[in-house]
Amino acid sequence: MSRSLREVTLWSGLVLVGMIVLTALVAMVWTPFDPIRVTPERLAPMSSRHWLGTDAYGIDILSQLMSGARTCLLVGMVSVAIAALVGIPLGLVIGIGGDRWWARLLLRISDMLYALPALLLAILLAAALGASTTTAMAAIGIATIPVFVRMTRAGTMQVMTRDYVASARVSGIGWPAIAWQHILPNVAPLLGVQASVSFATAILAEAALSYLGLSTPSTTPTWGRMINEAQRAIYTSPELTVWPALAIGMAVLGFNLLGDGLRDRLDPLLKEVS
Amino acid sequence: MSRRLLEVRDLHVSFGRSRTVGVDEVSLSLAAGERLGVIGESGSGKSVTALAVMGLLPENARPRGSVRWKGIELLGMPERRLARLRGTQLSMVFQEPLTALDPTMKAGRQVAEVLRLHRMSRGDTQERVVSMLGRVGLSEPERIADSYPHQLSGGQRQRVLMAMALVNRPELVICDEPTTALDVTVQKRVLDTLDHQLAESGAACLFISHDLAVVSRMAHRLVVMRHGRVVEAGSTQQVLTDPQHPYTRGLIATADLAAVVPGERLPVLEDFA
Amino acid sequence: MTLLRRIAARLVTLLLSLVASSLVVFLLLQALPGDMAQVILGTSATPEAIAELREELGLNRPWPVRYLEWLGGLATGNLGISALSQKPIVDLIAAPVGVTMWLVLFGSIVSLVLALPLGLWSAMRRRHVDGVAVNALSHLGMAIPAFLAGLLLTALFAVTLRWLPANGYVPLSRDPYQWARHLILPSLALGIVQGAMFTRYVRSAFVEVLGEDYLRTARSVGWTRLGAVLRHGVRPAGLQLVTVLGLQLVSLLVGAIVIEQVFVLPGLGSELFKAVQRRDLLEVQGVVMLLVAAVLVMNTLMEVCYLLLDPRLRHPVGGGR
Repeated sequence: MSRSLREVTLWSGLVLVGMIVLTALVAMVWTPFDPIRVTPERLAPMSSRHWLGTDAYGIDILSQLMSGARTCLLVGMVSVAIAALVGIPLGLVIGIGGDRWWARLLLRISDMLYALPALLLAILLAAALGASTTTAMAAIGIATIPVFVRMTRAGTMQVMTRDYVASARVSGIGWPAIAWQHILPNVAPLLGVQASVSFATAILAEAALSYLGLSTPSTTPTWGRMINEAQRAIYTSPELTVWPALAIGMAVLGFNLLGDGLRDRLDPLLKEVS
Repeated sequence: MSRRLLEVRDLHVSFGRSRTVGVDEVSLSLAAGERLGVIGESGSGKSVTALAVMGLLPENARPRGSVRWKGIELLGMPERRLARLRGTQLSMVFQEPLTALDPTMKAGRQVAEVLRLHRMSRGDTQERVVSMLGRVGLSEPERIADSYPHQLSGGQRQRVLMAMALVNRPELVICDEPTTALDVTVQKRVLDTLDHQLAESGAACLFISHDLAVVSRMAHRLVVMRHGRVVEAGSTQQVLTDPQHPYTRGLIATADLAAVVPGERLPVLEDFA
Repeated sequence: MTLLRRIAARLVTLLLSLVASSLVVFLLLQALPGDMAQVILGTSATPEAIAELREELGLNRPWPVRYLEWLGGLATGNLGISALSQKPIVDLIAAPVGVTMWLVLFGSIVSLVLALPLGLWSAMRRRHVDGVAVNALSHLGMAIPAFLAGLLLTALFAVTLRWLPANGYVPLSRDPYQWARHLILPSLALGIVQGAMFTRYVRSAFVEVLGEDYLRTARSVGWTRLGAVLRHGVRPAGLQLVTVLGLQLVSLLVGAIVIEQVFVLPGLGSELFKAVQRRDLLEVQGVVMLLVAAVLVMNTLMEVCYLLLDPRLRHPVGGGR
């Protein structure tokens, strides 16, 4: 890929993500209409009053989309934070452990989480506790932990071979300090890319969970549930599916492109690791 | 011998968008059965020239000029037609014996494939493969044929590659540093085999190396390349005894390092200007 | 022999993973609040009645005992009795397992048929407009959740064109033609999205293989560029892909569960949701464990496949032939 194409990837990712974030911020203080109150103005077409029309309950679609952006970013941020806060330290420890038996055991245990995908975890949590935004965030977050563990471990093992780590060890600096001063700053770009890509995955998972009714309760609009409701009206007004679909697509594409763009820019380090 | 087998004229190869020049205004020619040595340091354009002749340049390369094979232009020839020439009339032995064989296929099948690909496998393919492997100096050809590349030594793999290049009796064999990756002792034996096989089949050879001793042993004529250009050409005898270009003189002197008296200063390029 | 030992090690790992994950599933459902007796009797039940039922169901015994009992049942193919319907859980999920298996099978066929040629194409033509376009398209495909693809396909083929049914299922044994018609859209929805993701894996595997020296060797003996890749590139690239195939199957299975909801297919996912809504914890536990086991077994199978396919592992150096 040429250099200019890489820049296009990065910038289109930034623009899309920026748009979503901005929308979510605006939605925190203002939406054109109440995104949850049912009104008699059902299935209104696009107009100057309702820019994107209204749904089968007479709720303004644009307002729902804006409010959905907020939920989507919230779930994305919290779940990626959970995964990063658990996964990065674990990955560091396993990476420093290298080929020792306890490090290999920990890696195996973390890998086992791959067998419990976010959806199954969310179902388990919903069955035990009842579905909520919290269970969705926890499920997605926990399911993303092994991804961060693997990435951090690979980066750590790479940095461990460098001379400055060896010289730090020789001069008697302890592992926690080495991890903090030498390893973490060097694997940070890698983790930034991973966070962006995981964010996209989290948005997809959140959409699926809220579509299935395993996430946020109906008092808050989400893109997934908008699609669920649009499906019920698919024979009469199939166009209702389009807006939330576009929103999900844009958000996922945005974070994926951002991740890819960052990856290409930081190529040298990443090539060594992956 | 009026018609030349291979005629390269004003070959110019640049790479990528930046148009980095790999080879500039290179001309050389070969008659049937003749052996031409190309010598130069890495990056001098030897391998690029060879790949241009074979039509195996990487995708981002832009060759210009002319490469004629028995009078037919090869540059710009459609991939399909060119592919039919490769392996039958032209073939090549590469310098990386460790990576140049398919790791997932037994050595014998890789040789047999060259026969089958050009429908040359009349009679017993397996028998011809084994006899070819024997002719390139492999002592247990049946066992080698039944082995995967990772089970063979570097010298054995290089011989398998030679078998692949020679099995269809091509008229030109391009050897790109065929022994560089091997131990010195193995090197000599592989060269002997190659020498013998070329003589027996009467094939012409374009022999590329950075090692003057090796090239002068294999070639009738020499071309010296530097920075993508030909700096000197002539018969091996002539180039070795009466080098014109200072770079060639340097090469000859350094090839003879063993002759430098201990304690003496090593010769540098300026000494030959 | 090292190969056998490696395979044995994988199988031991599988067994340990199965036990460990069954413990996780059990604890998540049993240790968390939520009382099965309460669920069965409803909110109007008296505390005495609930206590009585708890005793009857054996819920008052310590959890390690109940776990071991459940684990023993799992090993013998007995998932217990559904507390609500009073039927063996194995009977409840027998038919749904079949539906989900068909969906996963056809979904994976669609995704492979899409991903292998497209991935190869975008790798070989990566410096050309069409190769870049295929790559961009796979990016777009990845941004569409499977359930959304299902809905868009429904809108087009079922609602607008009326070629295929929008939802529902007919068993194969009753009417093969209708069975196939009902599975086309779900399989496509599942396979296209999965295929987009897999295309990217296929692409990067081939991009790596395309730089290998042995492909140049193959071309030097007379293969065309494409011929060399097909003959000598597919196997090494495939070897790389086998390792990610396990993960692909996991997301295919998860995708199938969601897709079943879109197309109202009576598969394992639908059964699972019914159980969640009824709060039939034992059935949820059983179905989730079954899915996790399927994932673990498929991953192990892929790892063993890799071991068997790679000649470097099958014929170690020194061992000769």
